[in-house]
Amino acid sequence: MFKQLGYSFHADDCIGCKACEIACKNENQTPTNIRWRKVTKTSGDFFLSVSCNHCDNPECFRVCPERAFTKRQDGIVEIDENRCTGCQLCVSACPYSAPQFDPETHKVSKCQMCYPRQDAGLPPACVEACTTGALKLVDLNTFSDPEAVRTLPGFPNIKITSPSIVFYPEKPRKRYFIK
Amino acid sequence: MNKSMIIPDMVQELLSTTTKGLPKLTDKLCTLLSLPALITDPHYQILASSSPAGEPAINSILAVQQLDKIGGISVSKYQITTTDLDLSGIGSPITHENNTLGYVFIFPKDDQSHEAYAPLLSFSASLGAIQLHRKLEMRQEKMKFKEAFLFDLLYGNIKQKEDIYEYARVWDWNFNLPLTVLVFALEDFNHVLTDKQLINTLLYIIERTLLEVSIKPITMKRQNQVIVVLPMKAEQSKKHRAKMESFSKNIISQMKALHPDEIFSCGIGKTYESPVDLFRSYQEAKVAFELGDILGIEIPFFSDLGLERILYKHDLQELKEFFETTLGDVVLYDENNNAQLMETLEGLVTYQFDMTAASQALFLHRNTLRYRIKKIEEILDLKLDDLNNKLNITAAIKMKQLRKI
Repeated sequence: MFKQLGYSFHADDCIGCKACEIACKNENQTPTNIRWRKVTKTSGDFFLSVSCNHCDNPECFRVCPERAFTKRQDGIVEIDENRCTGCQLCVSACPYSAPQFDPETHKVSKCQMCYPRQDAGLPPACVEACTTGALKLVDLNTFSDPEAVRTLPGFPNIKITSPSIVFYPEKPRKRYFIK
Repeated sequence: MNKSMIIPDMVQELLSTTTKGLPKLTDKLCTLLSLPALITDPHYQILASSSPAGEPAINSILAVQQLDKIGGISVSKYQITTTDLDLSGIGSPITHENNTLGYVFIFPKDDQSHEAYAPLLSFSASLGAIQLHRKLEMRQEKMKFKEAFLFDLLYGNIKQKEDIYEYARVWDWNFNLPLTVLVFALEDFNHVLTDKQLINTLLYIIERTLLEVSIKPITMKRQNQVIVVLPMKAEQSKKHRAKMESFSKNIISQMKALHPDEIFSCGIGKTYESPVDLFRSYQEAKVAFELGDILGIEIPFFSDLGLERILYKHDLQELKEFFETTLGDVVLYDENNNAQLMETLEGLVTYQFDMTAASQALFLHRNTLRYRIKKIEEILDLKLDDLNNKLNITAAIKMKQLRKI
């Protein structure tokens, strides 16, 4: 009945092309200074594409004095910008820097997992745009894969918030030498 | 053959109220007959009541006594006692498929006219049956949405207090009382059938334990968790915390007895007056659960974990610096001399610097403990009976326990 939609991310497959980031901007028409999805290079020499993780225990949600956040029955955490007063408590509470403050509108906005697209039966823009299939959408209530892990080095601490994202870590690469 | 089929106006007028709710039906009965009319549920709790102008309204029933039956139909005479007076009237059960859904009563002024009203009352009971049956169906339909309602409540999706009260009435939950959320969870949960059965057992035990203490269970399963919403009765406000603690201990010990190999833990949020803030209590319970798990607290209360939460979220580099300046020398001494002074300090902090309790827990003689404390004081060049030093050391030890260092 209930879903917990989340992302699955293959660290090996991401080539850092930022197609997800651009697709997100294009789909949601976010202002120049707002990036709901960010692709970064970690110290482990692989890329991480991170947006709001629609946590099971969202801290943004707990600290908001205006009760502006809601969690849909499919697990998507959304913010009602009409209720937001721009106090930015959620911005500091979120370990993934998902809620972003727009100094022009004095409101916070964040990834809503493209729910209008999902309601129309389409995948989120970032997932659809991913050129290598590194980013996928999964239902964590039923997802089970022994190869998947909950976190990767370089990803913020997942304790307390329990983010709805699973990772496939980098596999050790073989080197071949020309003889 | 051209007989006209006459439907009395009174029937037409009563029928017109079928879609408008029970109060309209009693209003119409009252206006047509100029008599007080009453509809109750099967337990004689008033659902709708109307009285002609100038007569006192009937607001509560203390006792109902059924007297003689009238004619061959189900209408009987009744003696009804209210808080102010004794009323004699006639009533008919409202039935649907042999189930009594309620009663309809009218109170004629003289005993002689009772029989004349009987057919009309019987007809009104049928109309009441339509409305009550529809209500019952709606209630049953809503029961299916209990989980959806609790989900929306626990994730703050219902913003209006009135809406919450309205929904809560479907399940007879009293949300006017202050509420607290408790979360019980199974660690290392997998989506396998056995783990799901464990959660079902946990839910069953929680509901049974709540019913034993006459609390209507407000519970929900969610993956590896069972969420309990616990109302706080006004007279229990001072004992509420102790009650929640003993309740949680009881549940966990019952589960441990049944499944000794599994680990069950819990977390308790803060108590909120308004049900619209219940989502905070739920989130807090989950935070308490996570931190309790790290710190090894059996029954963690969110309200007790203030310092721990700040430390857990704080910048790691600054925490490391603080730890280094506070206890770095002791760690270094331990490394060089294998003295395990840190263990002694941790024990002391756990027992709030109580020498007797700490020495017993650490299996050390009091004098040995005293000697080790003196050694620590020498290494750190400070006095452990100074409150500020105690605070610094406690904070540093907590950082270590939170696996930050």
